[in-house]
Amino acid sequence: MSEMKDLPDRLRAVMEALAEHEDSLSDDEVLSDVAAAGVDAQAEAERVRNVLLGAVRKHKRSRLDRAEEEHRHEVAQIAAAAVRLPTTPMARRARLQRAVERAPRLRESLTLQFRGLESISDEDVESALRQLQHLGLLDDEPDER
Amino acid sequence: MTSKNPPADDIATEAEVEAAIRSLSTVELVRLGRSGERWAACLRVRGLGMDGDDLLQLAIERTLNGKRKWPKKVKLVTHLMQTMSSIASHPRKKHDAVRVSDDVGRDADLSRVPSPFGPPNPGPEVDAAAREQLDRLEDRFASDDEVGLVIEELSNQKTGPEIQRDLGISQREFETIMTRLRRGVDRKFGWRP
Repeated sequence: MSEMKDLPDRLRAVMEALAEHEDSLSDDEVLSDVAAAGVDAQAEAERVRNVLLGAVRKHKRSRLDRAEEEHRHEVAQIAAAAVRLPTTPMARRARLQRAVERAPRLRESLTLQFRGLESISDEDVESALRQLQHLGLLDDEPDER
Repeated sequence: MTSKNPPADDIATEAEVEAAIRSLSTVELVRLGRSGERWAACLRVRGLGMDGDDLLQLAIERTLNGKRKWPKKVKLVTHLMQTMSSIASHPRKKHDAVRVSDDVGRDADLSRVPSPFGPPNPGPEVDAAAREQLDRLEDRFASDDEVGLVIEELSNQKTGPEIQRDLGISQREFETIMTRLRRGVDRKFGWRP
């Protein structure tokens, strides 16, 4: 082989030619190469499948992590929003009651979520009010100003 | 190739990609593993430390995150091999930029996109490693003049037809020599050198 001016480039040209050549090999040639290399084709196939499926799992985890992070951010935003809610638990419960009376469909979703307005805790009442406000479904009332 | 994007329905979803992986045949999987190793070897010549599995994972990641969408009419094995080729070929392009594909069937030359493997490392140690590998290749095929000549031609970036013409050999003879080269490289360097 002649002396090369840029060894990495020229070696890479050989390796790339081999890589590109892989595409043109028939299935029989691939399996013959595997046998010639003393590799267990079945075991190698399962190993590669696991690598691919592992990459899918990693992608899913990363997507879920992003979704969770977005949810946490959203919840934090709701909690941090400057809201004007009644100051006592009883007043907040009454406020929620008025909101659902004005929008009966809210009652359905809240009933689904909490199994009945009467049974929800003070914390859930406050949380529901904050969510409604965040969604723009809670009109200001004069007594809250 | 066309730059027109296929309809969204033609693009595989995450679940379809996963199902397709599960149904890949033994020979398709082996082919993918070998292809990954071959392209990773090209990157290692440049001092980019990675192996075939890294390339396979990167190809899946790009497929799932939409940077390299998989049109379902293309076989998954073909798509992944093309994706690995595209990833591994980028650093040799001008300015060591990575050309990424953001559209199906089209390598959008975004140029200047940083390599996902970090900058190449063309220092003296890379030259030395390349020299050593070439020496090992020469040693391996010292008694096979035909393969030696093909290596010489390939290192000068000659194509298959050009080599056949230069050496006065048929395509069949060329393929036979390439098979000896391929298997010799596998024996000398292994699948995962």
